[in-house]
Formats: sequence, structure tokens, C-alpha cells
Amino acid sequence: MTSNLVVYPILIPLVAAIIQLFFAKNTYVQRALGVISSALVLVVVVYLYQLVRIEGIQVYEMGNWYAPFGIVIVADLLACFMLFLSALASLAMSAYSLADIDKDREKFFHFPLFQLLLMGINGAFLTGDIFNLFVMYEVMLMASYVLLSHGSEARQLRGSLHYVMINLFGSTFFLFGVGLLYGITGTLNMADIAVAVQTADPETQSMLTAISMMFFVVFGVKTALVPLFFWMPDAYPQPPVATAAMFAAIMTKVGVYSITRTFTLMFPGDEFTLTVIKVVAVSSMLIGVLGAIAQTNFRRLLAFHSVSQVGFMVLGVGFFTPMGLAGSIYFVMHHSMIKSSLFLCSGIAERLTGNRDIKKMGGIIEGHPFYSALFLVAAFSLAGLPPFSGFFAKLILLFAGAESQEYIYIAAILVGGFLTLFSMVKIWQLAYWGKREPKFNTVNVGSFVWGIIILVGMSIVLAIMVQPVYDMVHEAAEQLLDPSQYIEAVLTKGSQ
Amino acid sequence: MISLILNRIARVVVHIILLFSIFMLFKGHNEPGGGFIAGLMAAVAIVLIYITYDLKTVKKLMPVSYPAMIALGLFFAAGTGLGGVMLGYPFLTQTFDYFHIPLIGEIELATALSFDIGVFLVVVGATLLIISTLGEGSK
Repeated sequence: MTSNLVVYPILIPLVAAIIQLFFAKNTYVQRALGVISSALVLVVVVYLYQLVRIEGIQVYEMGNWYAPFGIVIVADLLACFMLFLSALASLAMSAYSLADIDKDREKFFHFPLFQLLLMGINGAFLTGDIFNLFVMYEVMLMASYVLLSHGSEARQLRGSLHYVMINLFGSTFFLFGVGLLYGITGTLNMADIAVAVQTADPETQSMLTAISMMFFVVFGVKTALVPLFFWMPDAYPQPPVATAAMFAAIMTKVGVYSITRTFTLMFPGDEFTLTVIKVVAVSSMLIGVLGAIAQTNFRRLLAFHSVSQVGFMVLGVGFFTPMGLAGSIYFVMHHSMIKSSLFLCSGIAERLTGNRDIKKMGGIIEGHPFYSALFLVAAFSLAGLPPFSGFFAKLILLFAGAESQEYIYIAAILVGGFLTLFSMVKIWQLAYWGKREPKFNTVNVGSFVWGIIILVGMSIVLAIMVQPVYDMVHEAAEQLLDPSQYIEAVLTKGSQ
Repeated sequence: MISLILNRIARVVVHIILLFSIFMLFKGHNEPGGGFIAGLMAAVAIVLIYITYDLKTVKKLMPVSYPAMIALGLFFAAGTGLGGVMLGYPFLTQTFDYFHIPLIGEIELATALSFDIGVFLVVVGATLLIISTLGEGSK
């Protein structure tokens, strides 16, 4: 029997949320529990990673019903990486929320909702059942709807209405896709679907491709790929910064994870799907960054960047080589740390200047050199300048492109990177350099920067340890490209 | 204004609905029924009281905090799953046994029942929370 370790990343946030609900009035307990739960998940994930490396893919049968009849929870290397990121991001966000979240939101269950969001995200990373993936998406989305519209400011409601509508649309499509897939293969277990797809006769093959594209659309909505990204720049600037940062760090990555899982395990890429993926990826890479250049609202700019950066990750999946996937996973790790720290930086800048427009900021570096340096490291890393993690992330993708001789995509990566640098320098010049605006608010920056220090620090570790980390993600990529390991682990378990 | 007809009917019907919802709750895990539908029914009974009288009456009849009710329900449901973990089985493993209870006789009790009770509490709590929030309006 497998150890219970696999299911803990889902259970710990759930239990934490329940206990927090009991302490509805006592926000100190809620805050403490939030931090403890995130830290616990982090520890569990590190152990889990060790276990998966030594003993292979871990399969856990919920309720003792074996696959393909019951719901299985599967932890492979990719899932472990994603879990690690979600735990890390949630730890940093919990630390940041301690100072950031206002009394009203606290009173109306901000912290339990945050834990439930974490539970949904972790569940999506771990589940081995496509319908359960849908359910976990819903858990995550329900929590995110509330977190996004929490506080009910007018512009917040406007952004969140877009978000709710587009995601309902996405979820409906998801359900249609799952229904069609069940109609053809007669199973919902992902490993079992993979077997059924491999052995499907040629006539149903086109239908299966159509279904796989349907999933791509669904996950494209959740990840905000071009042309379905328009909800994101509206939604992300509105909620409290810690929430926006959590969404940017992990929610979009759930989509990337699902794309990776779908097109490596269930529908291993054929020529057509891979071309579609790559073209979509490149167009969001370029359109996203062009959108970002035009913005002057700090957070809107960052949200457009997310559209662009997600393109890089999905492009790695599109290459469909071990190196491409490794680059994609490395990029996901780099981006979730850097983008969330940039969002947190934007929160501090907003508090200092009382403004969201970078044109009206200016001179932040005066008086706050340390915090400004943190922003600079994160910004250069996002742009992909050499000593930082973003450089290595793009480098691996470039090598992967060169390896499969896709020179157009290489050019796109370089152009995208250059434009990213341009827009980051724009923020730096307008908001941090320049003449200091006379009426700055006095903010105790020290109480905010802890979350940023955790994230930027981790990204620097990621850059320094690039060779060992690359070996780790490469191992995960190879595991992904050999779906028989996953299938065997899930399907042979029950017969023992 | 309390409508006379509604008042008379509600006094009778509420009890019937509540009884039936408990019946649904108990036969849930093997036959159609279960915590969710039972919870909705119980909530409907309470909503009927709310429509007939007002929110104050509901709060007087059920002096509980709805969020706490949801929390308690989640606690039951998750606790059922965790019970399996404590005993060394996977999460959510269920079991059942037959018990002899005086007056009622031989009945089957499953751990799924405590899960269903949890769901019941969550559904009642959530429905009432929504309705009371909407009913209170923007004060």
C-alpha cells in the first residue's frame, strides 16, 4: 500500500480551511494556520519528491477503489515540481497577506478561501482522473471567483464579471470534452484513456484529435493564451496584491500543467496538434508583450506579460522533445517565482505612491533602495538577462529549438525576450528612477518584503543551481515523454 | 403581514418536509437520496418559515451561525475520510456493519452516513447563508 503522503498536499489545506472556519472571529489563528499549512505542504512535497525519485510514480487509490474504477491520485516528477511551486508561492503570499489584507476581507473569510484555492490547485496537479480534474478546477475557480470579487469595489466587480463569464464558458467546454471522451473511450481514468487512445481505430482518430483540441481551448482560456487572454488584464489588477500574485504565480500554471499532461499522456502529440500549439504559443508570446509595452498601469502591464510568458512555456511543450519539455518546466518554475514577486513589488509601489499608473510614480529608489533592488533583480530576470533564472529558462528553450531546427521559433523567442526587456526598463525608468513625487505615503516596507525575499531568493537559487535543477527537470521531461511508466503505475496497481 | 393560509399550511408542511429530508438522508448511500438532496429539502423547509414569517423568526428558531454550521459539516465530511487514514486505509475508505437497535431492529449503518450528515450540514448552512444574506439586503 502506498503511503498517505501523496494525498496530504490536498488534505492539509482542506483541514486548515475547516479549522480556520471555526475561528471565524479570531483572525490571528487564521493567519497563523495559513502560514503553517503552506509550510507543511512544502515539507510534504519535498519528501514526496524523494519518494517519487526513489520508488517511481506514486499512485494512491481514493477510498480503496482501484483504477480504472475509482479515482486515483498520481504523483509523478512533474506533479511534484508543480506542487512545490504552489506551496512556495502560497507560503510567500501568506507572509505578504499578513500585512496586506484589510480587516473587512479578513472578516469575510479571506484566509479559508485562500486555503481552498490551494487545495483545488494541488488537487488539479495530483489527480489522475479527467473528471476529477474538472472538479478540482471548479474547486479552484469557485475560490478564485470569491477572492477576486471579495470587497466589491466597482471596478473589481467589472473585472471579475469577465473572469467568471469566460471561465464558466471554459468549464462548459471542458465538460463537453470530457463527455465526448467518455463516450468514445468509456473511461475517465487518464491512464486508461491513454491506452484507449493508443488502440483506437483510425476512424475515431479524427474525433479524438477534435476532442484534444477542445481541451486545448479550455486550458488556453485558463492559461490566458492568445486569442483567449482578454479577461486576464482586466481581472488581475483588481483584487488585493497577494491574491493577484497567487493567481499569476500558480493559477495560469495549472493550465500549462494541464496542457502538458494532456498532450504527453492522453494525446501524445501528432504533427497537427503540435503545430497548432506552437503557433498559438508564439502568437501569445508576441501579442502579449506588445500589449504590455502599451500599458502604463503597473499591474495591467504585468498581466499582459503573463500572456506573453505563458507562450514560452507552451512553446516548450510544442517542441515535444525532452529538452523542450525540460525548458518548459524550468520556465514554469522561474516564472511563478518571478512574476509573483513582481506583482508583490507592484503592490508596494501602489502603497507608496497611492497610484497605479507608473507615469505618476517616480523616484521610488530614493529612500527604498533595497526594495528597488529586489524589483530590479526580478525585472531583469523576467527579461532574461544573463546571471538570472530567466536567462537560463530562455536558453534551454533556445537550445531545444535549435535541436529540432525550428529557427522561426528561435527568432520569436529572441524578439519576445527583447521586447520584455524594453517594457521592464520602462517600469524601472518611470517608477523607480526619476524625480521623486512629493507626496509619498509612509509605508513600513519592511513588513512587506519578506514574501518578495523568499521568491526572489528562490529564483536566484534556481539560477545558481542551474545544472542540478536542469538535470532534475530533464528527468521529469523524460518521464513525461514515456507515458508507459505512468500508465503502468496506475493500471497495474489494482491487479496486485 | 402573515398570510393566514400560508401560516396554517406551513405549520403542517414544514414538519413533513423535515421528516422526509431526514428519511432521504438515512437511505442515501445505497439508494437515490443522500446528504445533498436532504440538505436542500431541509433548507427549503426553513425557507418556507422565512417566507411565512420573517428572518427574525428563522433566527429565533435556529440560533446558530451558518458559517459555523458549514465548518461543522466540512469537519464531519473530511473527518470521515481522515478516519480511514488513521486506521491505515486510503483517504475516504468507507465501511459498513449491521447493528441491532431495540425497537427498530436490524439496520445497516455505514460510515458513508457520517459523510452524508456532513454534506447535509454544509448544504443547509450554505443555502441559509445565501438566503439570509440576500434577504437582509444592503444595510
